[in-house]
Amino acid sequence: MKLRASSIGLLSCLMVSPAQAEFLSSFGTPGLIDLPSAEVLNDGELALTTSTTGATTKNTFTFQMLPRVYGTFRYGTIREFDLGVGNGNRYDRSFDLHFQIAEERQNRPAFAIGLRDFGGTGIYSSEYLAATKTFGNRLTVTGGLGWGRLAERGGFDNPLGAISDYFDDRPNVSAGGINTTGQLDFGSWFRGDAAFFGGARWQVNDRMSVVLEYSPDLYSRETDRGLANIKTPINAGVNYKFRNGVGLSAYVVGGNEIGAQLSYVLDPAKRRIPGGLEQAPQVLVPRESLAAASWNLADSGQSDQNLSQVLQSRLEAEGLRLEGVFVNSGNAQIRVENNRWGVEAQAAGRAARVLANTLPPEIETLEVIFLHKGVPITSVKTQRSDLYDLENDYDGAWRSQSRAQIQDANARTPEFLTGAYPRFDWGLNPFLSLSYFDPDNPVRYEVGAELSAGYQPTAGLTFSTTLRYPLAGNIATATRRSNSGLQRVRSDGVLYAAASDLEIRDLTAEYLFRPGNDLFGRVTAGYLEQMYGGLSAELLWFPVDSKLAIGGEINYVKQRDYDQLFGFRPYSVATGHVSGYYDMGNGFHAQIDAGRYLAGDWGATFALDREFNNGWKVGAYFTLTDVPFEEFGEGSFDKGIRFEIPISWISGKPSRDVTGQVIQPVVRDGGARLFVKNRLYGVTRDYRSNQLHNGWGRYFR
Amino acid sequence: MNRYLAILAFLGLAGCGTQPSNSDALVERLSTRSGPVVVPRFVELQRKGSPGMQLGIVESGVSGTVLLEQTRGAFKTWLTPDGATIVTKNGMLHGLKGLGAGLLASKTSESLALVQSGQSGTVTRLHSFLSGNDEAVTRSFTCIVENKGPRNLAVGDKQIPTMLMQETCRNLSQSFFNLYWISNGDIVQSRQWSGDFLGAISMRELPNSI
Repeated sequence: MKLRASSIGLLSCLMVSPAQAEFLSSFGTPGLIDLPSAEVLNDGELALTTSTTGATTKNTFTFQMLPRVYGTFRYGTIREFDLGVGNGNRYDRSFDLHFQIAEERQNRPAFAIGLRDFGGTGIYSSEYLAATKTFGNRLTVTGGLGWGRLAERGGFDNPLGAISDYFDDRPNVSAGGINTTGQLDFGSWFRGDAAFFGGARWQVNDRMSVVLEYSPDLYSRETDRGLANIKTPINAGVNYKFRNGVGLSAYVVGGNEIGAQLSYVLDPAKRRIPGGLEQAPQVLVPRESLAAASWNLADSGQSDQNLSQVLQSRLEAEGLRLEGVFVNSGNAQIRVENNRWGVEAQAAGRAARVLANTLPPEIETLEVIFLHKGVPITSVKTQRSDLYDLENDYDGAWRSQSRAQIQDANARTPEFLTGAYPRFDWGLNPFLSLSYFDPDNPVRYEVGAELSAGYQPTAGLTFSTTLRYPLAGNIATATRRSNSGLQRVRSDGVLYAAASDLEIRDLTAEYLFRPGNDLFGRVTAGYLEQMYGGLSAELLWFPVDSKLAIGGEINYVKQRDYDQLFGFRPYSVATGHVSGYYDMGNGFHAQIDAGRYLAGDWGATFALDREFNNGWKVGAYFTLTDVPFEEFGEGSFDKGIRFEIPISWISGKPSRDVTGQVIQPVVRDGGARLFVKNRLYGVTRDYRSNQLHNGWGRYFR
Repeated sequence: MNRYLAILAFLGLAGCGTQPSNSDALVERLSTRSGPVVVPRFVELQRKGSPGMQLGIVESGVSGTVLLEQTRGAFKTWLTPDGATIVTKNGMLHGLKGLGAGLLASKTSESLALVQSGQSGTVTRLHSFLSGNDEAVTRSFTCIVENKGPRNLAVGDKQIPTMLMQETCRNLSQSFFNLYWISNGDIVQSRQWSGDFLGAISMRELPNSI
């Protein structure tokens, strides 16, 4: 009987059914057809949309960062918009921001204010004030005031002109040319004529709804180029929501342009199978029964060795590699490397159970020290009696959390189990590398084989390499070359990809160590990343229960040859940063790095991420340096959005792996940072107190 | 030509090695299971002849046998063939691990007292679930226990006289009902709610052999 798998076979697709319907406009945000509304998604949700209207395709990613605020990144294609340039299509990147001023109440609509395409190339540049009210179960009505592109039809003098003449006229957003893109054009926000817009949605049944709207968008830029023909301000459409959460819409814009759209809303905080698919943990056996266990009987001095062996094999079955065991007078300490559990508190719980089910009855204090590459990070101490009391307690998760002692563990392992070191690991896997936003081809890819190998002669010291052999791809065929006025520290990416034979991705010797209490150190030497090799050293101060961590890194590197073998190019640079990491609570993490970047420029990077306990991460960053915007070139300054998805969220089984992507609208040479593996904060934060507490719900799981 | 040989060689060796990788977990999830998975723990219990319990998921109709792995005090832990556990306390469903909604633990002593004695009344029960964000969320329910009278239960080829108790529970956002067949103060068969994900589970302890 396949009780578990078959009973959830119905839900075997990768998606989770949404609890309520959310309707997305063709712009990928909550709204009608082209128009926005005052609605928002549920806190933390992500919406993915792709829509096509006539010659325009828009791919949008919207994230509800806070209960009332969402941000949007959009990548659009307008066919034949720029005839004579490249392949004639316009690839447009835009960002939106929306803030819900007030929620809907019984006798009051919801109000919101928003910026659409603020700071991109400006095709969709508009601002709005919107109000939305639902009547009964089925009817939702939206009305609002728009500026910019949302005021092309029926525009009247800006009501804000009563405050100041400044608002009466709207400057031309693209007047500055390509080199001013990327800057925030707040010089034009809420300026110029305003116009009314509005619409309504009628929910026909659970799955289907119809939408009607009055839109002031004349599609004038598209019409001038013969790409659109708007006959009427009324747009009409139909939405259908499938059982798995995918939404399909069809609509007519302007009485003439037909469009279709697919959208999907997902909630990172909801796992597909809430309890997880991993095997149930070992059940705690009665404590006294262990006195009679064969490995605990004192006979001919062999008992200690047998205990270690039994612990080692049981911990291995839980995905934990045992490297040291120390038992004396009522206390037991094990040192383990966690290879399986993405939620570290669950690893602590599993280890504690193994200890309780293996050690002789007189041992009371159970200490689990987590190692990373043999270097101790944190110790989690529990009392064995607490485990028995709380295993089945309805409040066991919280009570065990409050009774556990979590401390810094920086003493080196006095003696490793035989066979712990030296260690050798290797793996051969496929890789997929994506490159975005080349004006000639929005997504370029490369696939091939990747061989990674690592040799650890002793704790903390690792010799490793990653080799890649591309088998197929079109990154190398890109013809555009960097026109950067700065030293080309990153913008020659295509030249590196063009070398389509064996690539040494990295080849390094790395030493991790604990200089003292709450301190971590790293030294890495060799070919550090695709484009640079040299020496990197880092120090991190990170107390075990601290929200703040501070680190400093210093590097001296030389640029590598384009063929990514052993050679170097003449450029070399000393870079370094001082970094502050702060856990703001509620899943928000801030990071500031200040220092010198690869092109020799000085500045700082600001990053904010929203993280969910299951490992999902969505965030954004930007870097400002002493490179003037004009010298930086298109985009003006380095910025990007990034996300990480834990593999365990997709598969349901525990895993430490994540897959992620950083999306930079433009890759240029200002504010470029060296990439080094195993930067200390990333390596240590999983085992510090905050992260352990975040997942403690799984301690007994 | 070299490129094609390289591709073939790679396809043969891909996934080899001692390091785990992203692609392993994804491939495992996406590939259809070729047959029932039975973990060694379960096989060991079969060999020892552990007592069994018939377990079924009411909504989907799937059912099978689980084996008793451990008894500690009033708690019994039952193991499914694929490694999930069901914890019961005196016959009341207490927790589920590896199955469904992640019911971590419960407090059902008040319900148990009334159900075992055959009396009617109002009680409170608590359930702790694992949320998608890895937090333990405890929910409390107000329940009405009623004695539905005697029922004859067919067990094997015998008819056992039992008393049927119904417990109807609700809180602000959820509601469910449980049924218990009581014989001599023991729950011999029951239908109990396990959470929103799987819904009701039916349980019946089997006589001492499988």
